[in-house]
Amino acid sequence: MNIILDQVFKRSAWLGFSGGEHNVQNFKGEKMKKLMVMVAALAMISTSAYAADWNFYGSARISTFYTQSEDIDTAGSTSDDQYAQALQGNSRFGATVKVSDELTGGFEYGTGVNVRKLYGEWNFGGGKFLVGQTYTPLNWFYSNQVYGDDNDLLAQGGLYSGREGMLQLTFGGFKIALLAPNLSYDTDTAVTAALLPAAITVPATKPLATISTETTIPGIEISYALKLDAVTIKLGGGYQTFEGTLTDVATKVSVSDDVDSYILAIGAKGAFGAFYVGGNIYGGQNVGNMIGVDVDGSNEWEGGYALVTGAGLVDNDALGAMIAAGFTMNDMFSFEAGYSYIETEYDVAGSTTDKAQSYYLQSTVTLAPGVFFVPEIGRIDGDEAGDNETDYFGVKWQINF
Amino acid sequence: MLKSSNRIKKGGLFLTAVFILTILTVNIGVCAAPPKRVAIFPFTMNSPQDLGFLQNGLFSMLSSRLADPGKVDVLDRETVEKYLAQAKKSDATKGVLNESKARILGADMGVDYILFGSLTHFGESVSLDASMVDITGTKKTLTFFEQSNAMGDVIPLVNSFAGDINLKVFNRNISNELYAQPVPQAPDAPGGLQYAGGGAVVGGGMMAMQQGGGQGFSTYLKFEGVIGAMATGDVNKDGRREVITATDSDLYIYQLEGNRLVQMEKLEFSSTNRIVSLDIADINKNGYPEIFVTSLTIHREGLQSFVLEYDGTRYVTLDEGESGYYRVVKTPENPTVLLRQDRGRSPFNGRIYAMMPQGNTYTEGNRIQVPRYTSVLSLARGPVTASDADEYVMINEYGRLVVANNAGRTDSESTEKFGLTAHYWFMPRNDTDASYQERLYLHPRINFYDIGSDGKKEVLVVKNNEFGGGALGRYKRFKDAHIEILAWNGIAMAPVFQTSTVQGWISDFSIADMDGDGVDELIVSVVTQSKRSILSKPSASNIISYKL
Repeated sequence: MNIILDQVFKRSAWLGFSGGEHNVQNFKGEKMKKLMVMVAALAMISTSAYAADWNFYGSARISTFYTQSEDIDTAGSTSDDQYAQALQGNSRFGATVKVSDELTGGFEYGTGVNVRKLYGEWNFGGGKFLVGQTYTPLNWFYSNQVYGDDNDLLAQGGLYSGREGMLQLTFGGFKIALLAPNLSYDTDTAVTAALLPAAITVPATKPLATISTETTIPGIEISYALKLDAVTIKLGGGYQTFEGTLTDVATKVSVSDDVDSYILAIGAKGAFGAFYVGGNIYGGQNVGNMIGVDVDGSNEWEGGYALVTGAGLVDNDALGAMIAAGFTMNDMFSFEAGYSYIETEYDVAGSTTDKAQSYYLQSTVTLAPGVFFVPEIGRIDGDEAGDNETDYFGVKWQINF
Repeated sequence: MLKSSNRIKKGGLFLTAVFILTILTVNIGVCAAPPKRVAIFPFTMNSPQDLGFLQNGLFSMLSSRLADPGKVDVLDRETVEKYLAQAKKSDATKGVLNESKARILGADMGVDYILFGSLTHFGESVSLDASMVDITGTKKTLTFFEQSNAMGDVIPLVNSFAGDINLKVFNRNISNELYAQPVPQAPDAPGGLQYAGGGAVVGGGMMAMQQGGGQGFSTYLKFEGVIGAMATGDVNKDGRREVITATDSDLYIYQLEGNRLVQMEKLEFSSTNRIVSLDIADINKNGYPEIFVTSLTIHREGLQSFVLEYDGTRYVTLDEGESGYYRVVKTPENPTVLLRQDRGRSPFNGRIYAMMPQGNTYTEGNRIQVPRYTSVLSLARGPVTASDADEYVMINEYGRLVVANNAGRTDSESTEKFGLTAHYWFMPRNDTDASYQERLYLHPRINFYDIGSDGKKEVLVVKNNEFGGGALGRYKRFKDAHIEILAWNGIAMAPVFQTSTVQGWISDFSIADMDGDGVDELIVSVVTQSKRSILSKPSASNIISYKL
């Protein structure tokens, strides 16, 4: 699918991908500058570490997986077998800091010297007020699937909004956050055309229309966790909206349409002796603007968006669910299996449902505190003809320090 | 003649000198200037904490350091408060005190000088800012500002400030050492303890640790495995105290034979337990003390605590699957009280109740008012700031030793960290990787005990020291440990004694006369060797004893 993400374009420009050697050098220079800034920041932190409680930490992760993937029911498609070994992108180092009982904060950098987290939180007695970038309220982690840089079934039925810059209030188990709306939409033709009824046409050539967006309010996410003795239940929701205006290049005629995204979710996790089980189910519209969605099996998280068609913007309805259950034998061995399912469908009569699913079986073997590896076997299945299906097995190696 | 004349002259000169000196001396006495009157206004305390005690302390310290009989009189607190109350009603003086308002107030009060200022406390830092205003305007206002990274440095800052005033305003030179409290003579450290005072006052008013003449400890038991909790009591009513220890899921009952603990019984429970605390007390008053076992689940996100009791023939479970933390505390009016903290969102969050027996279970009684971030596992009740005070001492979530009154108001919070164990609770997962769950480490118990038999109880607190000071890594690794015995020094808890440092970490301790010689012992469980990986040596623990 071809997703237009203004953030992606900005990031690409920053990385210098559009230019030649000059841009590459700029990229290296930027990276060096960032590194120098980080080193200086760390030096400052070290010298002032006595004024507050700092705790530095890191995590190094290597994935070693064999994959066999192919396009489903596609003539001429052959199985692609690969062995891949890589430093996982979510390896990181960072620190948490406690300035006082009331003021805490933290930062975390990833492998691309990218800021994963940078936030401060003020405990004002009745609640907490967070300013900065970290996980938003709609990040629920019930699975430990390690393939795909800790995929966790997130895009195939899980709930993952990611780390965003936000203003967040916390009152006990209740969280509410305001964050920048995601202004993405889908303009694909080839795949989506097959999912739409014949009456709806997508632009035959791109760009048929210029598209502008307008936003007036921030996105909002809320969650509430109810802790019972053995079970924790979570309720959550999110909403964001923006206006998309399509202007026909030839006729200059404009059509405006609101792209409203919402999501409602419920999740639960329970432990019964050495066993545990957790899962969630959610439904919503244009959920791709708020959480990661993969319905074609590629695990590239580019589904769930409204679609630009000749008749305007068409909403995209989604339903997702996942479950994971495990058994902790002792402090060294644990076992887990998980299954997830997601489907999306454009909100016009006669559309076809687009589905995907994933499942896995794994064991976590802990060699020492913070040192462990996770052998895993599983599949990510795009389900429809032309989608991707990947079988995999391998091991994630990790040291937390 | 000449000689005689000279003698007369010399005698006259001598008499004249004596006369002049007498006149001068008498005149100085008669015409001596009246003592200067100083009003010290209560310092403004800018702090997220309630530092009322320190506000009082600052007034007392400055009063004693500036007062000079016959030369400098310092107004008492009541008089100052009375004028302050009046000042708040006057348009000319209400609001924040400044130099000009101080002059108006000082003139009304008839004093020569007014001393006012503020103490700002943020995080670990403290700043003392003050002004000494000459009401007549003859002398320039003396300002003072100093900051430190330790709350305990307030006393040296006050000393320095008082020294400045005495020198520059009253022409009195007193070295800072004279302001310090008299250095106590090192008392005899009981048994295996070391004296923790007697050295020079270092920053923060904390006494430098000194090696004492302690005779060390006796080893009662060497155990292969981790003893995560321990308690003592006569659980089977045979007239002898037992030592009960806990591993992750099993309890061991020992009796002292000679100088060794001999295992009497092993009680095995579900392997899904992670026992973190033990307590023994006869709460249901049936003659047999109950064993209160606080246990996390194997996932460390829930609780499955239980209660045991000897029924005359065997140990039976009275209550199980309890989602709470237990701690038995001793109080002046009621010797033993069972406290239970419900699960809450974390071990430092749940509400704490005094529990009442009801058959084989316990029901919630009064709720205990304690400050935020309190865990019942590291909570004790007793007098701290005064012999008749009803107060709580606790190690909070961040390892600070907190003194609070029975209404839950914090009176003191240490800058130094105490406690810590290898027991931890997993906070809700907030990362794509399950191993990256935030760990909240639990603290061991606190106890009151009259160490010097002077009728005043000291506070015993475990201090497990981490590699790298705890600033590196998410997993706690301990290098050594000791128990500190602390007493209130007027402003904060200060160390008096400490046990000798042991390698590893201290999981628990108890005070009891195990050997029946009439002298109590401090029984300590120490995890000397932690199994770091599947290929490393097995864990090892010791039960050691210090004579008190």
